[in-house]
Amino acid sequence: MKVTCLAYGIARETSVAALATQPEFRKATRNMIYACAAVGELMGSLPNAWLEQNLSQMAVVVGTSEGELNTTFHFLKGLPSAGARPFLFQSSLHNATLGFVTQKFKLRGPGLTVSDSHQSGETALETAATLIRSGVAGHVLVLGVDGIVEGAEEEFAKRSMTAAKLSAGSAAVLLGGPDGSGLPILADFVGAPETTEPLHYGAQAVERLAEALRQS
Amino acid sequence: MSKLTENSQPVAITGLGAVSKAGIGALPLWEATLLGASLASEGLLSLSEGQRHSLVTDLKQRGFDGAESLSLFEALTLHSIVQAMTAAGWDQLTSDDGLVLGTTTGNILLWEGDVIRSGETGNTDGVFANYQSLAEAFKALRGLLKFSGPSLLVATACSSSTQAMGLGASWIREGKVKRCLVGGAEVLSRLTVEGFRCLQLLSPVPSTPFDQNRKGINLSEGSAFFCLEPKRSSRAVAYLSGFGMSSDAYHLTAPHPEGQGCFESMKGALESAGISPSEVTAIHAHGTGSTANDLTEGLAVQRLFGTENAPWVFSTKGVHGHALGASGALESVLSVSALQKGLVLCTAGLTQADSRLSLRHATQTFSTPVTHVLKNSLGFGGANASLLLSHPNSLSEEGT
Amino acid sequence: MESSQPSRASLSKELKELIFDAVNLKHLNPDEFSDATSLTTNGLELDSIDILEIVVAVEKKYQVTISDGDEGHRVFQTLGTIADFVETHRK
Repeated sequence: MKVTCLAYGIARETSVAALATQPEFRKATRNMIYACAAVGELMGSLPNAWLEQNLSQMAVVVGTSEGELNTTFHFLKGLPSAGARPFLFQSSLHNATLGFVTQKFKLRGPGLTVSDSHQSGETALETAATLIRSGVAGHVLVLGVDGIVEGAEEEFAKRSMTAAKLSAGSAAVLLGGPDGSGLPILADFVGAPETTEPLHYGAQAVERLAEALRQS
Repeated sequence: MSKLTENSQPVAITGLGAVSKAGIGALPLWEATLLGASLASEGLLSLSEGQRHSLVTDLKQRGFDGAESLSLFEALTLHSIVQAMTAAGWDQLTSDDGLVLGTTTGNILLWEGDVIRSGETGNTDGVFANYQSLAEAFKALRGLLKFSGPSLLVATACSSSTQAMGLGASWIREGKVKRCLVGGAEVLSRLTVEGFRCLQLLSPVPSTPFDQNRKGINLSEGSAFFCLEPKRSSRAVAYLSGFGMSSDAYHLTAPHPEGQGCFESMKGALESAGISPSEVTAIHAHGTGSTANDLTEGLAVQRLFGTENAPWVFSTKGVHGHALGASGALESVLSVSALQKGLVLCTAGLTQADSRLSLRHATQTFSTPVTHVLKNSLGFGGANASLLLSHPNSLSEEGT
Repeated sequence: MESSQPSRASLSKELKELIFDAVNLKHLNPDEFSDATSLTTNGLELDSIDILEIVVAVEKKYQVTISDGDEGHRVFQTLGTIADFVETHRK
């Protein structure tokens, strides 16, 4: 079955900065804010009538290497001094970004988080295609989001391990079936872009695809 | 007896394996569940020294020479996989096979102690040496299995391994893989124990799912894996016949109060199998023993199935605890046993049912033909997943 | 009673700062809220996780312990009920 690309969004630093000051983001982590910036741009490009009809069934696949590990790090590091903090724990799980995004945009379809180091974005795109081909979902929002744990970059450099070039980023692409799920088809999805970054940045395949769609 | 339709393309389960506080293997878990006594100690269930030692020596006997250097997460995962492959008669994995693993914390035990210590001493040296990336744990595992075929790690909280099982079945249906290993593993960690405790979700006494006076969750650790094959097989112990997922879009830790998401995922699983609600024999509930979860899940069940002649509802977490990301797979092992043995289970710990619910709980385990069992998982982040597991005789004969 | 007045006022102010900081209420002006302000409906509009976060912060700062859920519900009603509890139980 043919899978198609229907919309895209890339997190811009300006929209990230604007969202971070909003009251409803007071409990949001860095990844959550980046993810909402990317999804917000994607949603903004879709017709309202289509959103009204389809938003509530939209499936989401998040691809992330580090996930909310930065929050996990702060939860664990703070245990001896501040005790166990509910805010940090609820946002420390790998799928907390997914939970925040589905809640924020009222997406009630299937939702899952996949993780495979720098190939996380590719894996997310392929998983979304599987969901569409196997009929589990009609259209899937694929979200690549990542940010390295604070302090890890320097530690990796000390050990001559390559770390991510970007500290945080996110992009989103909407995939659908052969009929485009009622939206104009931007391109056929023939496979995820290959990624070359060596370590720990899982958003890149989705970013590359979103960038290619933007330029076409 | 209902017959699954051709279009639903059920996938055969030809082998399974499990490790839990009850012991190594699916049988000890089943026997402990039938006995119905909680295996929790002060509200938690971690493997004993002896059990960990057995895991390692057993793996060594099966040819994994470096087994003593494996992390608990790796040993748990590997052992369940080896058990499942042995049961299914799979000699080795090829690049045509697939591997889908569900976990929430992976190798967290290699990392969290260093991070907590850095919080005490202010010294972060060494904190990143055993970097806790789920992908690193998965890479190690693929190396141990010498596996290079399609693989996927799913990390969607307590729905992780349930989703992993459903996705593996989807891979077979779309022809991406010929056979697939699916399951999950979870270790008990400071992260989850302290985290659940600060959310006031832990019970210091044995958990009592669906009870009026339930006090919360008992956290546990364990693993379970299944061998999935596309063809109808005389070796099939059960079929994975339906899969549904949904998001609550409600709250990061609290479930939707009316169970909207759980309702949708159960409905999705039944629809994908082409099965009507009245054909389901029993629901193997997520039933954690937390006030919110059991109420939410119960309301969703009542909405989808009604209260007259509804399926039986049981939770087994009162015995083996809540193994988080591994719970869906671990409990599916018990669902399969219930199908095979023709038994509907009672809920361990349940004495007085929640008065806000009218669910059909068995007062004791009893024999009856079990055709379809619906297995639910409700995860943090509002992630729900449901699987329909079916008896081999529920398949029609055409197309075999 | 007279002599406890200033310390109570400063405790209330300190608690408000602690709470606003703990649950990150940068968008609100603390001066607009009094001891009578509810933590939830028609007040700070906080949810159950916010309350738990405040419980942890208050327990840590004042070395107090909330014994169970019932006590928690009684104490974490308004800014004033928290101040009352801390005043009585702080070490």
